[in-house]
Amino acid sequence: MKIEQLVPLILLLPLLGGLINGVLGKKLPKKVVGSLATAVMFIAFGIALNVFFQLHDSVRIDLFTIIRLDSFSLNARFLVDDLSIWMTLIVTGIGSLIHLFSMGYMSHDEGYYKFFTYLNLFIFAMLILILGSNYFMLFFGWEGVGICSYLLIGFHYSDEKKGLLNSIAARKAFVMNRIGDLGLLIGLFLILSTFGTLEYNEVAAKLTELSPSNWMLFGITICLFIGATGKSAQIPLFTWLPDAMAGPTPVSALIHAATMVTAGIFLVVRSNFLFETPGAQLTQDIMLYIGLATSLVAAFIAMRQNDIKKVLAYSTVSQLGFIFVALGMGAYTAAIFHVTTHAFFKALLFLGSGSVIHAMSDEQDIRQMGGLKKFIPITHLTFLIGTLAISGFPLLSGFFSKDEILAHALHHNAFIYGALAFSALLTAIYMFRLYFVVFHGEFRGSDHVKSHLHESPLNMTFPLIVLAVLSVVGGALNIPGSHWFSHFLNHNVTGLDKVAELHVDNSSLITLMVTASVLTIVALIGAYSSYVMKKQLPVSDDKITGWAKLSANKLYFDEIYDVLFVKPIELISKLSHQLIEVLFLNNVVLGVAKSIGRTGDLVKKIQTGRTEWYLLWMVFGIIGLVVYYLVKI
Amino acid sequence: MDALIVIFLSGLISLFIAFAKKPVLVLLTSTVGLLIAIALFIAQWNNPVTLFSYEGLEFTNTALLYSIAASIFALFSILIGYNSYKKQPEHTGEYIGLLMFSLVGAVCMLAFTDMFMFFLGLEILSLPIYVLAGTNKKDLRSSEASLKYFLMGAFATGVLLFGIAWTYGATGTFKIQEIGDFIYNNQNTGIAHSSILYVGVLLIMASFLFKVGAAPFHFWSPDVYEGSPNEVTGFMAAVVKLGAFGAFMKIFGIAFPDLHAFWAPALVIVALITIFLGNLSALNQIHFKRLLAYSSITHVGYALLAVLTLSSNSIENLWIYLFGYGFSIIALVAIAKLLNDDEDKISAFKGLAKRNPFLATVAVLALLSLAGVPPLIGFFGKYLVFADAFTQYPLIVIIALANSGIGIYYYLKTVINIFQKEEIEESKIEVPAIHIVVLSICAIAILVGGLVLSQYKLL
Repeated sequence: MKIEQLVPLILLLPLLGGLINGVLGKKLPKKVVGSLATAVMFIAFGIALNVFFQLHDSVRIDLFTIIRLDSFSLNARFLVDDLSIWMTLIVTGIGSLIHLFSMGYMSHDEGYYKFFTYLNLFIFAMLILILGSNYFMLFFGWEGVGICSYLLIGFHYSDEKKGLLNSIAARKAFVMNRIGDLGLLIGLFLILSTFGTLEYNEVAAKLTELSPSNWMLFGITICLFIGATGKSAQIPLFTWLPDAMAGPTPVSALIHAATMVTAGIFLVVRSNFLFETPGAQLTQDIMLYIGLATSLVAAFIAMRQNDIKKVLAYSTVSQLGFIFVALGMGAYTAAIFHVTTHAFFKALLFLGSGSVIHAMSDEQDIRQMGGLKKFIPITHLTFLIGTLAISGFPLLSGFFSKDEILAHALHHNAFIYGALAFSALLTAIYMFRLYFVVFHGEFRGSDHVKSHLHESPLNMTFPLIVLAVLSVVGGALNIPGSHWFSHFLNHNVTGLDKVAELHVDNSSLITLMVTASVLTIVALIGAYSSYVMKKQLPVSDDKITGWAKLSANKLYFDEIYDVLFVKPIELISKLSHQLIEVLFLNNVVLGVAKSIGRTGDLVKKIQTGRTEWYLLWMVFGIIGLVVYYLVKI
Repeated sequence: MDALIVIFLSGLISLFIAFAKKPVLVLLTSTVGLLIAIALFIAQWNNPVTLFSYEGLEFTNTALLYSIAASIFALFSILIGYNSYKKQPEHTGEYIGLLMFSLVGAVCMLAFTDMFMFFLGLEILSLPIYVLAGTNKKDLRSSEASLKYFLMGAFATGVLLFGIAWTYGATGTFKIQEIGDFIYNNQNTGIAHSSILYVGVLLIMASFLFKVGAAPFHFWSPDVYEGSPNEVTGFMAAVVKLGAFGAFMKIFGIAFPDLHAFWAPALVIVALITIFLGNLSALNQIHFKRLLAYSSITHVGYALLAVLTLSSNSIENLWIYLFGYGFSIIALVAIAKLLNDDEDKISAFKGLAKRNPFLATVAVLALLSLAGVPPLIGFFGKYLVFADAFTQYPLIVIIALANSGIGIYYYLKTVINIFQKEEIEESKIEVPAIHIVVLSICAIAILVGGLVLSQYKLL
């Protein structure tokens, strides 16, 4: 079949899976629900692979027109090029593995069918976001992804102990994302008013033709970037992502590590032609420093977190910051390359942590763990691979992708390089800390938990193994010397072909790699000596002091936001409640409503139920008409 | 034309078959008859047939379109009423026969070419309805409805005849086309502006306003809607309105378009009063069918805008409006009947979403369509009529839109009831198979009808 037919099929499959499970799932047995949801994902991935191998030039697929106005029209149109098909492969590929994992992980859950419905719909929305050929489709997918994420974070909203917390986390994610969404929306309106179209290629073409002012370009790009900070969890909107760990672990793996959080990055890469204009120079710099700050802050916070998923969450934020630094330097292919490898090892780590939590009877505190390598060997081995990959251990995938960004940084500015390398060092330290505390030493949990320790079933370990293999070899995609991936992306994606590639000479390449390797190994040794040889353990929160206290308390970001934004807004709300609601609305608006209601009561009284009155009214009516005639003549 | 005979004959045969005391046979006869009639109507498309040596009836596409809609709604009314007819097998024949005869009248009212045939059609339509309103013999309200409707109908008929007579006196003809030509040809002379003609136009208009239920001639409708059996209410709201509006449009569009400047301001006033009165009265209703009655009055006010506009699209817009309205109203009366609440309270809908999700879904769709929520058919009807009227009557369209806002309040009040928890545990509701079929068709029509119909230009 042709690409034109295959791509709609990729979109249709998860939608269909979601709809069938959503409508009939309650009555179907769990096996059918899970298999259906997983099967559509694997088939979609297969089709995406097929498209990937067929694709040479970018292809546009028109489905239908949503709204047609005189000046412009909104089209359900799809753009298949190397960028979108690559992202599709990541989303469907990792998505299918996570679906498979969830079949085991969620097997005891009551909302099984709901979970798979949301998961399928999420993939559908994400694919729309990626494959759309205009900002409108992107926005549609963007919002769809947001709502699915909201539903999934608060999935256990009725849980007795944590239900309320889960709901609050979901709400926080939603509100934070809304702030970003507003930025995106304003950006879209600015694009529409400037260029008169939302199609990517038309905007790119009109860019030279219309040459909008630098201020306008700055406005557009900064708005798009604000949108990206929401979805991709950058300062100042990153606080929702760690809280989003309230969702079931496969969700954290899929949404909050591998796919949804890359939406903001995708947006920037897609709009690279806008970000490469002179007007957007400032935006790029802002992006660079925000990314850098996010990367450092999140890595710092991750140092002293004791919840296995929180550590991974902050590491995600930190890695995303890394990627934004790359974007700020215009290193789009390096960014997407790191997105790819990060998707591999972060999905692996999250699923691994899911497997750990599953084995630990839903315990997430690493202080209760320890010595798990004996009990869950496959999980242990794959988790180790993931840890090594994210820490940038030589020759694993994270090593190459991070290295590329570091090379760009070095070329750009030595300070940025130093800060990034420091962030990478922190990453290695907290990841090894996590690994050693969880898997080495003595088991510290209760005997009850210990008796239940078990390796996960095959449908959970299989995804781990696949992802572990990918995390090991993923770096080969863009190995220095071939740079297959960069050539691949630059080949037919609008704008990217114009971005100059960075050429690093061999000597500095080797210096870079050696430095990175040394840093990682130093972190490894340091963590080993303190957590395995000296058997240091994370202590309870009230005993820590100094920088560790800052880290454990997440740099007091939530508290600062509370004082800076939440409290003032609450104050304003209270004021406006008193002024607008009580004084104005209650009297004026409700007054109008009440008076309409009262008029209604009065009018009702005309309806006496007596025929003579009705006839009289009719006579009045006719007399009225005759009077009208007399007046009119 | 053949279709008219088929409807009449199947009504007649139904009467006789009823002697067998087998309601299902009667139902079958009438259903088959109506389906054949609809098929024949469709077969006549683009092939106007005139009847009688003096051309009393003419089946143009407009007449066919309205007739098809009327036949569909008549069929639905018969189908959803079947369960209650079954309980009194000795009267099934009369129920169904009278409904069919009334439909014959409606078709005559849509296809007439002269006032004489129009008057006959109106009477054939009305007389069976007076009887049907009273068929719930054990319920006093039903008898009251019947008598009230009859008395007021008789009065309106008198007014209509008076109006026709005056018009005849002024123009010397019954044929609406000739009346139109007469006025057009004498536009600049006094003959076309005589008092006789003007008063005649106003009197005809008054009787139409009575038939469609516009203020201040609407008082019968809440009482009659409430008292009549639900399926008859559905028939009145869907079929009678189609017939009356079709004829209204025809007479004022063909015979009196050149007097538009004269009668339009009066109709504007009437439309405004009707919209406000219907809405305000509906606000605090606790009885569901009365709510529907007042909402229908409001809808009449909106539909009058199409008559006022008289553009080339008005006939089709009005048709889409009434077509969508019919599906909603028939679905709602059918559901209200199934709730089996003698007092006909809106609160009887409480907990419907739990008790029967299917009925709840259809009810919500129908209510939202009445409220005019896109992309349901009710939205398209309203949109088309309002958009068409906007250039001529911007202010009135704005007022109508504001009133749509008020309307949402009472439609949503019912919707809220549907999703509310019921206070008393009630058993699940049994939905007969016929109802499932009819309600499903209604739901689908409400959902996609507007999207589909707005794509085509039928007339």
